[in-house]
Amino acid sequence: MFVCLWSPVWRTVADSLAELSPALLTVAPRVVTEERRGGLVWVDARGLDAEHIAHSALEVLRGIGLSNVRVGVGETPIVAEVIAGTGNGEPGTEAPRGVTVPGSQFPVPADSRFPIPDSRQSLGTLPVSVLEPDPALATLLDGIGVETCGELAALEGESVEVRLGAEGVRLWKLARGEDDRLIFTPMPRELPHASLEWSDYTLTDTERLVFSVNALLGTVCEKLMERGSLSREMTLDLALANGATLTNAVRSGRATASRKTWLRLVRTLLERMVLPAGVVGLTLRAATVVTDVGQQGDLFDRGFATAAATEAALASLAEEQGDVVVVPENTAHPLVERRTKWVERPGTGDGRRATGRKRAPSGGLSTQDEPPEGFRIFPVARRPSPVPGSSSPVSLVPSPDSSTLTLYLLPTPRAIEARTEERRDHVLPTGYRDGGAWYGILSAAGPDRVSGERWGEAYAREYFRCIVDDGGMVWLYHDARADGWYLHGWWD
Amino acid sequence: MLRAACRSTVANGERAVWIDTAGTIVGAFWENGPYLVQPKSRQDALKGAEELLRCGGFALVVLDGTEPEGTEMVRLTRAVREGGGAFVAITPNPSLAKLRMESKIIPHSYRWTRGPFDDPVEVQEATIRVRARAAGWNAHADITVPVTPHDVRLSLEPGLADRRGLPR
Repeated sequence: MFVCLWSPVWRTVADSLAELSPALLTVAPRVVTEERRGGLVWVDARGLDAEHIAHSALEVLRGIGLSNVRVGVGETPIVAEVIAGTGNGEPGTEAPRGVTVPGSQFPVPADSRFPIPDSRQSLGTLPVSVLEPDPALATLLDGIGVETCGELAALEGESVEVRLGAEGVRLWKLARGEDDRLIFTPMPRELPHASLEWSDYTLTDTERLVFSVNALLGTVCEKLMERGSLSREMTLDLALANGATLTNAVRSGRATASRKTWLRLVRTLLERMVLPAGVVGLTLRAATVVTDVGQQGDLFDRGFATAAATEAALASLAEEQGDVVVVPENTAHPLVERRTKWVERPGTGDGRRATGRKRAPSGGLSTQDEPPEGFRIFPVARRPSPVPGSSSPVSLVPSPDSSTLTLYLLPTPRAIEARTEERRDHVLPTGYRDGGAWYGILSAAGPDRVSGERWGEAYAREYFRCIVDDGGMVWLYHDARADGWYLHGWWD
Repeated sequence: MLRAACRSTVANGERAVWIDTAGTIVGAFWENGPYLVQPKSRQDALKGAEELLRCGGFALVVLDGTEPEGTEMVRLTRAVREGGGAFVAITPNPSLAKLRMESKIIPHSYRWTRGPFDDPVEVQEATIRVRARAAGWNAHADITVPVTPHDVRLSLEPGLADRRGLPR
């Protein structure tokens, strides 16, 4: 039920907002003001006792000195609005049912009730002018002899559309008591949050804070999952012992309700944070919440469907093992093993792929292409049979052009024993012993001399690329400072 | 070739991950695209492989530097079946594998560029013999692939700009 209040003595809508709304909110959950008709005040009585609320609203308004207020109650907004707005003394209007005009020509009896009017009947005898039609349309209606809402409502919809147009249809619907206006916008639900306070002690240890945040995350993530939502951002407020509050935003690359993911992000935040004082309280709020449906994916992105699963798996991996999903950060250091610093792959945990957005393989063969003669590798397990000759395709076939022999390094160069022969300005390895076995060197290229680090750990190496008799190519170097031979890597 | 397979997988819009247990991947030669996981232990590698296989988000999972044994391989095989991806383990013990492949570089197949004194300077390419076996099928092929030239930097100090060769 909608309760509409209107008064000819209201001066401005601003007055209504400033004065009426707080007072009316004491008797009704929601109050909305509108500028039309000189100011309307809507009181939300849906699901409540509309008559009681209307009475209470009138009493409240009378209490603040507004006695000449009219009230209308209706199942639809237009009914309540017309009831409240009519009977205003204009010639030709009559007091409709359900209208009370306190202090006016329609006094409220002591035991007055607000009978809930049937919408069609309530508007039936009222003139069309109460619907505030467009002047041109009003003239047209007058011309065809339609004077009351009941007469307009009795017309056929098709004929109204043909003769009176869109505006006529709108008016026809209002006359029938059909009003789909959204007077009260949907109530935004309270975002999930949880808080914890303590007074006997203060916390500065990150692990203890993470422990407490973990408990809060359990509540927040559970609420998110209950309402089928995901959070893209959470806010962590740290109440400090000195009275200050530190507010920190934690963002996830992809909206998620995964407790593990958020715990990992919060842990990262807390580990980097320097606290000016001990913490005596925590508040965790989901700041940005999205619904867990309707994510529009890229139809051509094969990885989209599994992004959430990938995110969960990578987050779990990071949670259990730390930053193990890495990318290299290369410098220009002459020593290849010191050239690279492995850092956490950005976006780990959101399931996104950093590169490889190309739709067409570059140099690679698509599943439809015929692989080259004698080159069939890497069957996909989800396809039933990788055996050639069957009807199932063999995919993930890299082009031979994209395959190269690439250098791999031992984590630490391994000392070996080498046989050498003299050259004009260096010695050349002809064989080496590694792990008890001797390997003959068929050919060797080098030396590639590298030296440096005057102030640090100095090095001077002579590198050789050697073809071993078993076919492999290894990377050996002679440490000129220690006069020793080392196996550093191999090509594979 | 496995790295090429990873690149091909990513280029096709799917995900690939390389689990490098031994830490043998050289950062300077790693191309972004596939995920690279560097677990700290063998057990972490196996657990990570299982999780990544089971999640179904990766079309190709390569396990390098860890050789699954016995029940570990069974567990990984189940994860493969559950996730629907492809799993490649670099191991001399390919039990439960649908396709077993071994490759070996033919020793005298290297092609060198030679210096003025006919000494070998740079390897251009090499030929790999690949043998693949599956139930009732056995085939091999020789593939010639280029060799990634390694980059030896001769700058005396890291961080210093090497201006040798610039016109004065």
